[in-house]
This record gives sequence, structure tokens and C-alpha cells, in this order.
Amino acid sequence: MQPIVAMVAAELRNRSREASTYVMLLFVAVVSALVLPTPNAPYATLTAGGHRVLLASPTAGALAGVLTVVFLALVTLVLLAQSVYLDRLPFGVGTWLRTSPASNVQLLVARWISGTLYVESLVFVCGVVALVTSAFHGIGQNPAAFLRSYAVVSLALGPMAAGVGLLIDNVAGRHQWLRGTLVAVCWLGALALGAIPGGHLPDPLSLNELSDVAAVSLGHHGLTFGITPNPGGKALLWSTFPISYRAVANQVLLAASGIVALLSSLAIFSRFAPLDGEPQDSRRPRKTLFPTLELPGAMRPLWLSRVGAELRLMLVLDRGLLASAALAALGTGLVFSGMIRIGEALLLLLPLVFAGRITLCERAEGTGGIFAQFPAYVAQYTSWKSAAIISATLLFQLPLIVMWHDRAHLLGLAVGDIVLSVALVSAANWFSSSLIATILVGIWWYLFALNQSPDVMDPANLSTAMHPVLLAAYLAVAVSLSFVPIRAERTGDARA
Amino acid sequence: MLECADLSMTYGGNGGVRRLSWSFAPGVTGLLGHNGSGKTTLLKLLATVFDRYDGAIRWQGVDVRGDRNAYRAVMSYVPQQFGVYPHLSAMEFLRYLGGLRGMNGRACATRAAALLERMALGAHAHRQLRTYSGGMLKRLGLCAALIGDPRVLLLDEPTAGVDERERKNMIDAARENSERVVILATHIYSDLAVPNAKFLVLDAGTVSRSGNATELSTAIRESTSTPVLWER
Repeated sequence: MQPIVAMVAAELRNRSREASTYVMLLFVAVVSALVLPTPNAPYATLTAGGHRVLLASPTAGALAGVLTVVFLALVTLVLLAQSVYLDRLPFGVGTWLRTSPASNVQLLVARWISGTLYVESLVFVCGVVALVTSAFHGIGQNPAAFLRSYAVVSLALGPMAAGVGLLIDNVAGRHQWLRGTLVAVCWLGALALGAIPGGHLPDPLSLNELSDVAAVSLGHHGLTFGITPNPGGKALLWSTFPISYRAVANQVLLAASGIVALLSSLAIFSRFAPLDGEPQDSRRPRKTLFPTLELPGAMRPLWLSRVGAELRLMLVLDRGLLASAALAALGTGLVFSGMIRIGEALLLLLPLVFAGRITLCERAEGTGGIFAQFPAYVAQYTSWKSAAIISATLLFQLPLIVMWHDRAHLLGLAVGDIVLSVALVSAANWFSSSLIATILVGIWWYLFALNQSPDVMDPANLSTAMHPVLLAAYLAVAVSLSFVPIRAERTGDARA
Repeated sequence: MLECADLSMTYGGNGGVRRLSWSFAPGVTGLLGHNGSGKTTLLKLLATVFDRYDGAIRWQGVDVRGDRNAYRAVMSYVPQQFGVYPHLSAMEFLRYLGGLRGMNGRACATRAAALLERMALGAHAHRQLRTYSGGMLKRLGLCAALIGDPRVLLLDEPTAGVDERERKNMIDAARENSERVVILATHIYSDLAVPNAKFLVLDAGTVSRSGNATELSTAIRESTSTPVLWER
């Protein structure tokens, strides 16, 4: 038991002090606040006795829970599906673990527990923010009911994501392409099967059915009700959310699937898997996840190859985004205009993501310092960094750009990307602190987001609401990955 | 007593260790030799980093493949390069490694504090490891290896990048327990300037020369003609 406690404590302690954890928490908090409907949102509502049934605490809680699960599923899978892999890199603690007397079972169970706790902390933040937001909007009259329904929907995410992530980690080994593909397949598969959100949603009722139900249930109390039709013309309404045995059973099933995944990974886990950098790895050229580590000398003007190296990393993520775009294309009845409005705000986070990845690596990598010492190279440095950020950003934005028909928006986005990228790199140079740069972008994005209306989140058509959430999930994944190399290079720097 | 018998492992036919047999007694044994002569591979084999090899490694007469975890409980290995949790302090990291060895919190903390003081890291015990210099991390590595008071201590170039005073301090700390088998790969001959030290010179994965401290001086003088690279 002692080894498990030690591993879980160390893992969580280290995570709790990483900047990326707080970026992630901030991100999930912002997204949680955005996804909840406002009282004046243009969807159909049933007004009964002065209360909107749609916005009852249990329903809002369940809805927030569903969105939390969908939002966090990919993020957590990507994060947890590479924890063992990261240990095995030269900067990881794999050597200590491999030669410790802790058994394989202890190693994996500890990883599963820490992964579960980490995911649950994110779920908790999402829940609290959603509760506060709903109270702010005047719809969380009963916090206990809100949290109860939220918990019933979302709590099983932790054990499931940790277990599946561990399994993927062991199956993929050092093959990052396989890891990315498996994560995307699992996630899309879960969505397609409705395993994650399915079974928890309130049943959609037709307008007449709902009227009948409401008339019966409210008539006993002498209450009257009226229906405000959705200006968008959608005739779906949600009844209140009952916490049924079925919902609880689904949660148990999901948690159990995580445990099965854990047990399955035990069967294929090998503590003797080569650590990266060991001579036996030289049989096959390694494609590193961290292209900045293998870039050519800082003084060589090969910025095109550097941009290429950055893009190669982004391809891993772009595959997932393309899958998302395909999913979006398959959907029917989508409210594209609404999706684009909120997607636009979220897409503006992309430069933040890539700037965080690229500029934060600079000082540890050393090239930033070298360039700063030679003013003649500042322009070159700024240009290739900007080019890298713009290219990576555009690559990510491509699927939406393809769907976008408004050229004015496209032009605005492109100009915004360029200005922002150059500003970021310059800010990182001037202030010698990429943190300041990221904060600047964060503030800028926040001010922009304040002008966006979140009312496009129409819970009467959940598939519509999913798409901004999909985008948010990918962005969060990118944020997470963007901080991975920092851990590597800073540690390497310390060793040097 | 730690023994290897006909130990072989190569990388696709190149490098590695070839039919090496040796018995390591308590005390310091230095592994010397050119780069690629097999020093690190031998240490990794003794540390159970690899699972596929020919021959046998025996601890107290028992093949370690029978119960690797029992052997690991008495063995510590510090590789040439190792990772740490960058956001943990030295004290927290040592407690983590102690926990892996089943030590309880209080005993582990006491031992960790003593080791950090011993390695002149006491003043930095609560600093995050990402702020440590290379030399400090090397000393921390030795603390990490000693946390469980191992009977077998395997060190791969433990003193590279460490100043002379601390080098001596590290070697002294490693050999404090007279029952301990200390095997260290090094290019720094002064690491072996301790009583009763022995050395092996590896060449192409086999032992080309061996001896004690006195014979080491002769080997140093002949170093232009022997496969030993020295750093004075």
C-alpha cells in the first residue's frame, strides 16, 4: 500500500504545481460558464407557476454534467494516455520506477488512482462553476438538486478515462500516431454509441405531450402554465431530469469499464519496455513528439524546417480535429451560424495555445537566449516563430474555415492571427517572459469573449451544443500538450 | 556477493556485454573503459533494467530472475541521466522514492533529511527540483539511491559535473556501509582512490584487466597503451 500512496501523492503534488494544470482548470471553468444557457436564451421554455421547467436545477445540473463529460472526455484521455510514456522518456521517472521493488500491479493501480483523482478534480471545478453560473443566471434554485444530478451524470468519467487512458498508453507504447488515433477512435466511438452522454438525458417530449404532462401534474396544484415557442422553430422540449436507477446503473457500468481497462492493461504492461534514449532504440529512427528538441543549431537560418517541425506535432492534433469536422458534417439540423459565433471566440484561443507551446519553450531550449544576444537575429527569430504560430493556427482552423462562408469573418480571422502571433512573439522577447505574453492574450481573448453571446447554446438541440464543446475539447488538448515539452526541457536544462 | 555468470547482451550484435563472469564483493568496484565498452550495459543488467539476456545474475547465490522485486528491494541504481518530478522538492522526491521501497513516512523523512545534509543539500531541501543545477541533481541522485540503505549500489558516472570536494564526499557516502557492494562506472580515477577499491577495465564487453588500488596506479601510468581513458 505504501508504494501506491507514495506514487499517487507524488504525481498529484507535481501536477498541482504545474502551470498547465491551472491553465486547464481556468479553461474548464471558462467553458463551463459559457455552455450553460441564459434565462433569455432563445429556446422553447415551459413556464409553469413562474418557473421554467427547462431550467429547473436537476435539468440544468444534468445538462452541465453531460457537457462536462463530453468536454473533458477527450482532454483527459489524451492527458492520461501518455502518462506512462512520459515516464519512459529521458526526463521521466521511469528508471526509478523500473528498478524499484514496487510490483507492476502497484505501478498501474497508482497511476489509475492518480488519473482518476485528477479527472475528478476537473469535474469538480466544472460542476462548481456551472452551479455558480446557473445561480448567477437565476436558474440554480436548488444547489443540492443541481449537484446531485450533475454528480450522477459525470462522476464515472474519472475511473473510466483513467482506465482507458492507461490501456491506450500500454497498447500504443512509443507510437504517438497510434496513441492519437486510439484516443480519437475511443472518443468518437463513445460519442457514437452514446455511451457517455446516453441514458442520462431527459427525455425529449413533443410540445403536445409536454402540455399534457404538465397539465396533469400541475393541475393538482392549481398552477397554470404557458409555452414560449423557440424563435428558431425547434419543437423539442425537455422535461425535468429524473435521477433514475438507470442513470446510476450507467455510471456504475462506465466506472466498471475503467476498471476492466485497468485490468486489461495489466496484462500487457511491461516495465522492461525500452526507455527512450536506450541504445536498443536506435534500431528504428524515433519521431519525437517534441520537435524543438531536435531542431538544428540555433544560428542556422533554417526557419522553414523549424516551422515544419512544429507542424508535424500539430498533425497529431489535427487528425482529431478533422474527425470532429467529419462528425459535424454528418450532423443534421445544425445551426451553423450559432456554432460559428461561439466557435469564433474559442478559435481565438488558438494563438494562445501555440504561443504558449512555442514561446514558453524558448528560454529552456536556449535558442531564445542566443537570439536575444544578437540583435541582428531578432527579426529572423520573430519571423520564424510567428510563421510557426500562424501556420499551426491555420492548420487547426482549416476545417472550420472550409465550412465558413463569410469571407469577412475569414479575413478578420487571418489578420487577427497574424497580428496576434507577431505581438505574442514580440511580447515574449521584450518582456523576457512568455508568461506575460500568454496573460496578455488571455486578457485580450476575454475582452473579446465578453462581446460574444452564449445564447447559441440551444439545449433543445444537443447536437448543436456539442460542436462548440468539441472545439473546446480540442483546444484544451492542445493547451495540455503545449506544456508537455516545457517539463522536458526545463528538466533537461536543470540537468545541464 | 553479487555474481554474474556468462552474462551476455548485445545490441543487434554490436556493443553490450559478452560472456562476462565476475563476483562483486562488498566495497567499491570501479568499471573503467572507453565509451561503448559495455560499462553502462553491465550496470543496467545488474539493475534489472533489461529482462532479456543470456547467463545469470545471482545475489547471495540466488538467480535474480527468480524474484526480481526481492532483489530490487536491496538494490539501487543511479543512471547517468535520470528524471525527476520537477515540481517536487528534494525532500518530497526522496520521500516518494522511500515510499516506493515501502518505507513509512516518518522514517523516510528522517533518513532523507540526514542524506540531504550529508550531500550538502540540506539548505535546498525544500526547493523545487527544476531549480537545481546539474551538480546538485547528481548529488540528489545519490541521496535517492541511498534512501533505502541498499546492499547493492550501482552508479553510472555519479560524479560527472561535480566539484572535487563533493566528489569525495559522494564516494565516501556511497561506501559508508561496509556490507554494501558499490559498483561505479567512471572516467575519473580519483573516484577509486579509496581503501580496498578494485577496478575492472572493460573492452568490447569483456573484462580486459582488473586489480586493486595499487595496480590501478600502474594502469594509469600505462594508460596510453591500455584501453583506459583517464581524467585526472
